[in-house]
Amino acid sequence: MDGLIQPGDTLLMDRAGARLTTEKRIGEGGQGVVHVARLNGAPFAVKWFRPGPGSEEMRTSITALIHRGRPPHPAFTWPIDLVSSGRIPGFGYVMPLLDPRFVSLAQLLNQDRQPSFRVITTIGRELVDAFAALHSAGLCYRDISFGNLRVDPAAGEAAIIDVDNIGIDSGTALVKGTGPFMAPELLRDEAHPSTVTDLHALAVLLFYLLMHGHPLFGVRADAACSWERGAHRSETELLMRNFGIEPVFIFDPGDPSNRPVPGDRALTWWPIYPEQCRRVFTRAFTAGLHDASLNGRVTEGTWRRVLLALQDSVYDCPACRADLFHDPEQAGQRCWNCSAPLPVPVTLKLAGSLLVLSAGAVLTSHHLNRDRDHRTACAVVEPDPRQAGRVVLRNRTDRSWTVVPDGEEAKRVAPGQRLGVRPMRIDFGPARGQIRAGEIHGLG
Amino acid sequence: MTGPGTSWPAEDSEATAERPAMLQAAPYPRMPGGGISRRPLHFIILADCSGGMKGEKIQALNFAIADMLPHLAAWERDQEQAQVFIRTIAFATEPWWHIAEPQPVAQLGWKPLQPVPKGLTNMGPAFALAAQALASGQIERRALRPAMLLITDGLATDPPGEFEAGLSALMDQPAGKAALRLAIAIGRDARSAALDRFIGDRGVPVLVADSSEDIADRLVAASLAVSRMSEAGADRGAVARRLFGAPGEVLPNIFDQDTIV
Repeated sequence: MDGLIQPGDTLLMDRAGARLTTEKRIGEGGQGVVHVARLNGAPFAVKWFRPGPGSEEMRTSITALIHRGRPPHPAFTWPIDLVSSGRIPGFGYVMPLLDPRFVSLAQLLNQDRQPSFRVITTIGRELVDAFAALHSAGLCYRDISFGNLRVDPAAGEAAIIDVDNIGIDSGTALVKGTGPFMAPELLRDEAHPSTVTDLHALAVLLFYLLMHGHPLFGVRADAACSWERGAHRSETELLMRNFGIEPVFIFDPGDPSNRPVPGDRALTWWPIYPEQCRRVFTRAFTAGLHDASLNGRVTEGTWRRVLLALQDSVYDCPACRADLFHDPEQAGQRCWNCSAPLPVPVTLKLAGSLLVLSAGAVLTSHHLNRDRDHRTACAVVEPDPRQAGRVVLRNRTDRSWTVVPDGEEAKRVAPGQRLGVRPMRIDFGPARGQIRAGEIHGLG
Repeated sequence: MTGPGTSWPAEDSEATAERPAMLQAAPYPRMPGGGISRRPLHFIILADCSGGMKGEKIQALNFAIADMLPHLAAWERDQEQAQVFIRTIAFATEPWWHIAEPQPVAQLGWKPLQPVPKGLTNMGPAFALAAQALASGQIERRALRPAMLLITDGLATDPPGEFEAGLSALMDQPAGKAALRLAIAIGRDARSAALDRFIGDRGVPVLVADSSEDIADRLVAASLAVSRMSEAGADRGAVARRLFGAPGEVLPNIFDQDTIV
């Protein structure tokens, strides 16, 4: 017994008045413990706080979160109600129980076999959308890091846990963040956690997700480490120096002093991404390091555009089947895996997007309606059963499309019907698009 | 931020086809591999193979280490900062490298140790051997603070002055001095002042294991402590409680050093 809740305890919900029964302990941290708890047979999670300094502030802050309600994104495991126990003093809160299909982001990225670019970019966009919803609600997270996120790669979903540090920019903060994700001004103790510092942490997180390394740990940071007598520095000192006082982006175009350490995974991943994506990371870790404002940091709207564009530009190398991005800004692209010159793929141009029509690509409701519904498929690209290497576009909407292929009469594509991909104009109803010939599969 | 022995750059998806597909049912496309660039965390096991370890004790030790490694590997898979590399020094009258090259914990299969008939328990030379391995230039400069785990069943039998000489060789290396040093005594009668001196921190007691199950539990606790070492902002209180069963007591020396809260 540790003075905290135990399996079998009954807890009373503050507002609902209902009773929960606690089950096994599933987590333990500095602030408290997390148990599974059952309410009318349904499983939930309860976090119970250790009594101590700051716990009253925590109660006030969580009460505010409960009253406010979850931001409009399902990723947040938001507190539902405060709970108390008749047996021991203190308090906790009840929240949804995280589904076991969610795994840590590090686990995903450390697998031998990496998820596809479509999965990686979908997860990135989900995270960006979630933090955008939070920031748009006037709140900040304060501790964006790997430890507070879970992902389901199969469903392309993210979950954000440990939401009890969320608050407003000027509010009382009990955390400052997690070292490598902390903005330079936070490490230098010149600022409090805020939306602006969240944006730095988000950029670091996205860099890890896409490039598999830390954006500021290069040769200069490496050289500051030492196990020589008299030269050893503590991790705190290293953090402060490399990420706080003298941070330099490993791909800074104007300062080559902190290039990636030989063997760093980022060296492999960085050139695979299109110019537009690399430009935004460069901004985040050059101007964004020093301009701690909403203007200096890259905001979610920009990240969302980058990630959507990445998602739309995935295809595979005709020679070796490696997953690739089409970069419209880069002439003479070559495959990162086999070095074969890459032909320009067939694309569908719509207002605001350019979708590479490769097998597995999905035309979403957002493409046609700009409604941020990235889950509803309006069309899917499938291999053409008549000819290897070619693709068809299957109409998954409930309305017919009108298409005018180059040099042909206008045709209708009924719901469920497949359209052989070739240069044409398409009227989807809510939007019009144009399939442009690529060089692949003899369409050029 | 790679460690020793990591392959690079792109993994062939065919070559790893037999690995369990943990997260996705759909076929994997060809992607660059290799995980996240992380900093090495060297973990050196010092295992007593003296004559007194024969029989159940050495079996229990082998079982417990084999049982501990998956815990460390599972923890490591969840890390974006630390990659764990294991080495092992076996010792009796003399020390020797049982695992000389740092092995990624995820790939390590434990090769059982055997006791040395009539072998003594000379710890000093084992410390000195570890000191050589932790010397500047022998480990990557970006390596995280190392960890060492001493597992023994008895009192040190070093000739006069040799225990101290070995220990000071270790302490003379910044990485040896900074290392998280843990000790597990097998058998309740095995606690000794020598192990406390190896640990060098009054807040960290010698872990005592009476049975093989106990050893496994203690090793898991030790690996947990090691794993938490590299987590900035890690919950030191919870680690301490789990490790040492001291509710509410936070051990400042081993856990507070490098943390920003």
